[in-house]
This record gives sequence, C-alpha cells and structure tokens, in this order.
Amino acid sequence: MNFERTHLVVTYLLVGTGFLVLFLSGEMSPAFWMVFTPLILLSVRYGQTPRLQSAAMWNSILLAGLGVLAAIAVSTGDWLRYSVWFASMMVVAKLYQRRGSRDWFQLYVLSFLQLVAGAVVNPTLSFAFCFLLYVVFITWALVLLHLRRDMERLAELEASADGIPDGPVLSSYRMRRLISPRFLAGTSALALGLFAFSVLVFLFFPRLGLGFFGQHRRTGTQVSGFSDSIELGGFGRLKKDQTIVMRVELDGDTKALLPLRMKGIAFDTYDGTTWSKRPSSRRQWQLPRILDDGFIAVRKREDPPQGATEITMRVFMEHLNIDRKTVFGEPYVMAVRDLQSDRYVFDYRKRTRFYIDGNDDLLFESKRSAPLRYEIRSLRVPRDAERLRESGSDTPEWVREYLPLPVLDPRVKALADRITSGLSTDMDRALAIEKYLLQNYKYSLDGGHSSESPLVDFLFGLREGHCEFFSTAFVVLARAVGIPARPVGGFYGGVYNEVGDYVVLRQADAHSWAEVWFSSIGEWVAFDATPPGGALAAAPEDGVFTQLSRAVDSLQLLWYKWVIRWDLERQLAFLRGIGKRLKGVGDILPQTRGGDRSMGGLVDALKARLVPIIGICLSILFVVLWVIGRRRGWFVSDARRSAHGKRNARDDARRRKIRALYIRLLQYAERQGLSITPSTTPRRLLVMLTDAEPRCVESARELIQSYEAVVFGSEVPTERIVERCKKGYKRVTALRFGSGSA
Amino acid sequence: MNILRRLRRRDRRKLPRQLKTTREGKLLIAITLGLGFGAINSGNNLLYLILGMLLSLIVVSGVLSELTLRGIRVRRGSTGSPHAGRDVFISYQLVNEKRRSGSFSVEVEEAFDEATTAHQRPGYSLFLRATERHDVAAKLRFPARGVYETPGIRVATRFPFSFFRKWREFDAPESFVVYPAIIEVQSPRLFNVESGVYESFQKVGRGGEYYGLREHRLEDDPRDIHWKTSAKLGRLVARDYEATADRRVWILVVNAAPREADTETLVHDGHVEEAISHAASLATVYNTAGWAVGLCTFDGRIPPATGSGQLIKIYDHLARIPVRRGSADFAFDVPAAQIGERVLVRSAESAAVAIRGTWDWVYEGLGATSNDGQGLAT
Repeated sequence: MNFERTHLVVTYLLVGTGFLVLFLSGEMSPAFWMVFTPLILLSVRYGQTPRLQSAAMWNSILLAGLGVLAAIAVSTGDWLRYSVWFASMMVVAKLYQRRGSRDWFQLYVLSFLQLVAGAVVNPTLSFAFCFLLYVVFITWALVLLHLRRDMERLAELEASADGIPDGPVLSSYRMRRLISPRFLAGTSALALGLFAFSVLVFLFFPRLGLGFFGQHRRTGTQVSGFSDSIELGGFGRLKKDQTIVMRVELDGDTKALLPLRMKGIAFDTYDGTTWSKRPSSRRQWQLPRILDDGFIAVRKREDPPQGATEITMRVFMEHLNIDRKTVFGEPYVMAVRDLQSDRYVFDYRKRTRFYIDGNDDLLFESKRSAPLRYEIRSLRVPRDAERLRESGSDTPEWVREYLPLPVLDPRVKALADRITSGLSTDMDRALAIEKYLLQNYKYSLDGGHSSESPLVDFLFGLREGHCEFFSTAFVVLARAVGIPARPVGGFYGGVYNEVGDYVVLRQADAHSWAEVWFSSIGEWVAFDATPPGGALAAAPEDGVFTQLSRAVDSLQLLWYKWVIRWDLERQLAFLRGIGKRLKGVGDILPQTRGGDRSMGGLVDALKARLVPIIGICLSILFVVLWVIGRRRGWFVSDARRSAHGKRNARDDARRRKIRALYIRLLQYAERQGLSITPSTTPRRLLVMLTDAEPRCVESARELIQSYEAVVFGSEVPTERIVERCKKGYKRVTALRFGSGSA
Repeated sequence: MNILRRLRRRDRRKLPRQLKTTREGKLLIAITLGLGFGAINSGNNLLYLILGMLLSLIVVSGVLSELTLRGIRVRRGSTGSPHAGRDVFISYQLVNEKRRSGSFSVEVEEAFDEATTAHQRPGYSLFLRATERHDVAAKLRFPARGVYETPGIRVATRFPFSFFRKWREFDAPESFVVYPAIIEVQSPRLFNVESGVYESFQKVGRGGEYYGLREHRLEDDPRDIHWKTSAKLGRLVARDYEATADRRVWILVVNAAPREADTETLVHDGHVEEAISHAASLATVYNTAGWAVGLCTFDGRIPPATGSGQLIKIYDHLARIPVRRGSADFAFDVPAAQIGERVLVRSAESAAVAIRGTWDWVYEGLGATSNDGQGLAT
C-alpha cells in the first residue's frame, strides 16, 4: 500500500469522525455544514496546491474568522458553539497546509478538540459510536504519523548528500511492504486494547464533581404544553411526532402496567381560550422531607387509598426544552429522588431540589447539564365508583378555586345541565359528562376551530378535536354543574421495549385529561373523555426496522444508565459487587485451610460449583489445545498446505520477474553507451542513468529498489510492484538518452 | 549540584530503560492534565472516557516500546577510520531474539555522554521480524580530532506514537580515535618541482615500479602479496617496489600555543588545531607522492617511512597529542642520520613559542607557505 495515500485516507477518516460527532449532536447550525463540508471535500483535491498553502493567507482568514466569531459569541453568549466553529476553521486551514509531520500532528490535535466539544454537546449513544471510530482512527493515524516523523527526522539527520538519488524514504520498498491491510488490522487490534483500557479508566477513575464552572446545556427537544399557560389547540401537532422524550423502567411486570399515565402539569383558570395558573398556584414549595431510603416525600399522608397499587419507576428524561422543569409521574406521587446521587456533588448549588406548586405539580431545579434521571414512587388508584359516590367531608375552601368559569355561551351551561339532569352525585355526573363526550364527539387532529371561542366551536360546531378539547370540554361542563375539576397535561400510553424491558414515551404520547375532586377520598381522580383512538398514540409497526430501532434504543438506555449516569455511588456499588464476588470465590479457601480437615467442606463447595468449574477447565483446555494446534499446524488442511506451496511458487516467479527486468535495464543502459561492468552496483547504475537522462530517475528508482529488496533483503514483491516496475522499465526505454534537460 | 547530577547520572545508568518525553509527548501530558481537570470539574462522564483514551495512549506507548526493545541484541561491526569533520559509517547487527513479536522503528547509535558533541545519524530498522537479523549503519561525524570514548551502544525507539523515546544501553565500550581533518594543501616541496616527475632511486619504496620479491611480513599491505609465487612456494611472498625517490620529509608540528590571556587561549588552540590538521594533510600529500614521511611533535617522534601504515601511525599520533601552552623549552629532536626535508608546521601565534631545532620550510597560518632557507635556531 502506498504510505502517502494510506496516511491521507486515515487522516480524513479521523477528521471526518471529529465532524461527525458534532453533526450527530444536532447542535451545529446548517450554516456550519454548508461552510465546512465543501471546504473539506475540496481539500482532498487541492490540499497540497502551493498557492493555497500560503501561511499568510490562512493566518489572515483565521484572524478575521476569530474576530467575527468572538463578536457573535459575545452577543449570543454561546462561547462553546463558536469555539467549535473556530476549531473547525483551523482544521480546514491545516488540511490545506499539510506539509510536514508537525502539520499532521496539529491536525490531529484540532480534531481531538472537536471530539472533546462533541463530548460536551452530544451525550447520546452516537457519541459512543463516534468515539469507537475515533479510537481506531487515531491509533492508525498516530502510528502512521510516527513512521512519517521517523523518516523525516532521519532525512534531516542525513545532512551530507552522498550523490545517490535516494528519493523520499516514505516511498521506500520496505515501507510499502509494511503498510498493508495486515498492518492496519494489527493496529486496529491495538486500538481495541486502547478502547478497553479507556473503559477501565472510565470505570475506576473516582468521580468527584467539583463543579467550579458551569456546563454547557444542550438545546433539548422542543415540547409544548408544559408552561404556566397554554392556548387551546396548540397540543395537536405533537401527536405526529415520534421523538422520544423519556424512558421508564418499572419494577414488576412492565407490560401489565401499561398504559402509563404520566402527569406533568395541571391548570386552574380558563379565560375562554387559554388555560393558566393563578398566581397563588404558581407558588412553589421546596420538598424538604427526606425519607430513610433517600427518597424525598411528596405527600404528607402515609396511608394509601384503598385498592391502590404502588408503582416504582425510574424515569430517564431526554433533553427537553420546556419552560417548567416538570417531574412526570403517575398522578398519586408519593416520593421522588434524583438517580444522580448528590452525595458527592460538593457544589451545593448543583444539587437537585424538588418543589411542589399550588396545583400539586412536581417540579425540580438543578444546575447540572444532564437531563434529570429520577426514581419516583406513585400510587395507581382504581376508580372505585361506589366509594366515590359516597358523600365525604366538606369540600375544602381551596378546592372552590377550581370552579370559576369565564362568561361562556349559554348553550354550554344548558348542555351540562342536560347531560347531568337527574343525577345526584358528583361521580355520576362526571361519568355522564365523560360518557357523553366519548360517544358524541370524534377525535381529530385537524384544526380549524374558531380562535375566539374554540370550545364552543368544538361542542356545537365541528364536534371533533384532539385531547385538549375533550379535557377542556369535560372540565368546563363539570364546573358548569358545580363539580371542581381541572385539566391535566402529561403523557399517556408508551411503547414497550421488550429488548430492554422498559417503556418509551414519545412526543406522540403527549396527552391531556381531566381531574375531578372527590371529598370522599380527599383526592383528585382522573377522567379521560378523549376517545381511545385518540388518547393512545399509534405504536410503530412491528417490522424489522422497528425491532432494530428498539434494540438501538435499548442500547441508548444502557448508555445513559452505565455511562452518562456513572457516578461515585455507582462506582462504590460496583466495587462492592466485585468484592462480594471475590469473597464468594474465597469462601472455598478457608475451609481447606481452616478447621475442616476432612476436606468435606471443600468437596461440598466444589460440588456446588461443579458446572462452572468444569466449564472453566474445558475452556482453558480448549484454549491450550488451540494454541498448541495452531503452532504445530494441526488445523492447516492439505489444501491449504498445497495453497501455501503454490503461493511460494508465485512468490518465486515474481522475484524472477524483478531480476529479469533489472538485467534488461542493465543491457539497455549498456546499449545506450553507459560503461556497465560486472562491478556496477544497482545504486551506481541509478546514478549513471540519472546522469545520462535525468528524466528516468523516478521510473528507474522503483525497479532498482525492488531489485535490491529481492536480492539483498529476501523480500517478496507484490504483483502490483512487479507491474509498476514493468511500467517503469518501459518508461526508461521510451526515453531517448541525451535529449532531456539535466 | 554536581554531586546530585552525578548521582542522577549513576542512577540512570543502573536503570534498564530510560525514557525521554518528546515535544508531542509533553503536549499529550498537558492535554491529559487539562482534560482531567475539566472532567473532574464538570463531572461530564464522556470527558472521563476521553481522559481514559489519553491515559491509554500513554500506557500503550510504554508497553509497546518495551515490547519493541525487549529481546533485541546488538553488535557493533566495522567502525572505519574517522577523520574530524567527515562522515564515518558504523555498522551494527541487530538481532530480534523474540520468538513471536517483531520490533518496529528501532534506532541504533553510540551511547556517548551528553558532553560529546559528535553528530549522529542513528542506524534505523523500520521493522525487525521475530528472530530476524538486520544490519544497519549509523553515520557519525566528529567535530574535532581526539579520542572519543563510548561506554556502549544505545538502542532506542519512539514506537508506536512518538510521544516518548525509550532506550536501553548495551555495554560495548569503544574508543574512537578521530584523526585530524584532512584539507586541501600543497606541500612546499612538491609545489616547487617544475617538472612534476620525481627521479627514481634504487631504493625500496611503495609508490614506484616493481623491485623484487621477499618474504611476507605481518605489517605488509595484503595487496602486495604475490599470490602466484606464494601458491608455488606454499608460503606468502610479498612484492617490493622501488622508491620513487630517496625523499624523506620530516613534518615538525608546533603543538603549542603561547601563554596568553584566557579569553584568547581558545582562539589560539583553534589555530593550533588547524596547524595539526595541515600537518596531517601534508603528511597525506607526501605519503601519496611516495615520500618517506616522519613526524616530530613536542610529544613524540615517528621515524620516516612510506606506506599507508605509516600514514595511519601519523594520523594516530596527531589525533592524540595535546595542545601545549607556554614558552617552555620545546625542541624538535631529529636524528642527524635521518634528516631530509624538514617542514615546520605551526599557527601564526605559535611563532612566539620558543623552539630549538632546524627546518627548511615553514608552513604557517592558513595555508601560507614560506621558505626562509635557513630555518630558525634558538
């Protein structure tokens, strides 16, 4: 393989990986790619054009770029993004100025900076993929750069020219022989070793988050519907978006617990078009009570409602761009805790704090850049109609805040009365409203509702809409007949990932439903008036692609759990686990050394571990036999041996061809009048040929070097080398000696 | 400080491997420290992953360079006869005694101490397969004449990433006697010969016509062996040649500088070195022309003789003599029976050095020749 070409390809792969990690982060603007992609592609062709290598030109461009980018960074405050811009500019500048090994090395350093930037802006699984590629390419690139540097250094030390036109050493025969697919495979194995060691360092390097400076926050997935106020009708477009917003692991039978209802935000005030929170509801109280198991208590009451099922789930949020930092969970949240342990976060400001507001919304505050991963304990309370029909204690004063309505079309009140006429309990009236909406209205994502009175348009005009219209209609109709109710936004449904045994919630699972206050249990109870086809988003079709994407997503969750969320607490647990396992192995030993002299204990212990012991012994035996067999050629078939013989014969034939070509070159030189004697060495011949006709030096050099390698170095030339030597010989003989310029 | 330095040097000698961080290696370490700080500060686990990669690069560099150097043996081959300022090739045989793994990018050079200013281009083996032997040649250039001691041979590698240069030293003490630089000179005597042809004397010499046969002596040039006769007689017989002329020259070298202020001493020493170089060059010219060349310095005398062996003796003597200082009682003691042409070679400043003796020619300064006919006697 040609060294120069291989090195160039490897360098571009490395640089490409640096850009890829940024591309996959989605953080860089389209302008970034529009500027750099063509520049990089053009550098392949024009990278070593002397006119484009002018240091003055590139320094001016970089200086101007620095000024512009610094100005933009100052105005936007996004220093990281524009530092990446500048680093990328320097990469491109170096791609056009690659001269010596120092330039190549600088190129690698700049590409490394891109990887570091990628680590900050791209914490997804794609980083793992890019990192693996990067480790392989950087290993190749550094080894090749090392060889280039050695050759350049030796050429520099070769101060006194001895008159022999040796040519660049990088193109030498031995170098070409070394740079082979086998060499790259060996280097890749080295890269895997590097990767394995990197993982070890990653696992055991103590995580002590000092947190002197802030971190970069990613631009998250834009999610609407979770702010202090929402306009009716803006929720619908989410239903078509398959972007993952969170992954949920559940204790117990995950599939049986589907669909999940993850409440996020509740509203209390409706003005005819917009739902919002009253100022008093917006107030937040920090949750101070820490339970023994590290959870933070959310509810004061300890006694669960009758028939309630406790659900413990671990929620791994994606980066979400929402106004309120909402903690999603099943409606009756009992306790919550941040999975990223705060115990070793020395900077108090970076610890996660949980809050609750006047509408029982759970919120969090954290200065960490990573999205929240939390564990939440909730109650799933069945809607027990009989119990809810019971009259309870007096309705608390604050619940009356959920009754007011704006001035609405009188038909709304009339409709509410008509639906609930003759029903005595709140439960029956609520059920009637729910049933009426479910039966008489159609789910539709098409808009077209009047912007002035969308609810009236929904109830009496179009008679179709999405979940927000249904929940709003339910709440307004309930309030119209004196039932305290409120709309709730969150996620409902989820797709079960059987590969990783967890549930994925997408933007499409965003949902709105209603809650009604029941004094009999002193709790809010969910009512969902949206027809089932609309409440549950369609699951993706179960094809090969879906299976594959689930497997990838499962890896993504593992990545979050084991890499992104790897902290000191996990490290300690991991080490304790190793310790326990070692102790388990050591259990056998005291019995042999200690009081049990009868060896009975040892025998019992061995019996208990018989299968793994036999497995280990067989594995060791297999490995030993494989190593011995490989050395002695047990696995080499006759056909392969015969192939080996044929290969030797082919090698000899190629050697003979090189010798024959050299002799023909000698004869040709003699015919051209050069004084060839038996003592003329190959190098001397090259000097003579060069003196006689300078144009033939390049063509003759390869043949002469190959001849030397074959005769003195016992090298086996490849078929390509033989072909090139033939072409070189033809080019030499095509020249008329003495006609060229010296 | 000196004691510390000496102790450190001694310790270093004891270590089986020595390591030096290259410029790129220093940058790698700086980046690793910076990234480590960044990772600890931010708690970003992906930075820890990259930090792991950087640390791996350092560890793998150490392991692979060790594997490269392990099992390598080296033997010094021919060393050649170096003249100051000229390249000399020294061959080494590298042997990879490892049975399985090869060694990459192995450099071989002489393990001179740091004070030695010899310019080296190490011998280099790109790839040494398992159990393979490989001959490599290092190129050396010594700046000045003298005796250069090397305790052994240094085998080094920067493999695999050029971040570190690791080496081990093999004990193979060697003294390089570096002859004075040879420059282009014209001998005062030959300069004045109009015809350019020397008369033939009926004397045994090296440079003229065939004279006769005699028993081979150990110091004879192997080229002079008459193989046909040797084969016939069953013992080695050498040819004798008639001398080109009965011309004998003594080169008298003033290897002393006058005692001067310290600041000027080095300059004077340099000029004396030039004079010694001129003396060696003159000896070469005379010797090549078939003259019997003798050498007389303040530190010894070599009687006139012909042949390449004589030239080597002169070079060797000139390589080892010190530069003396002061106006002590120096004398050129040339035996009367052997007196021929006498050429005094000295630096311009050395004219002030009091010398006893007689000479025919003075060769002084940078190639200037003068003939005062009588010589100087003090």
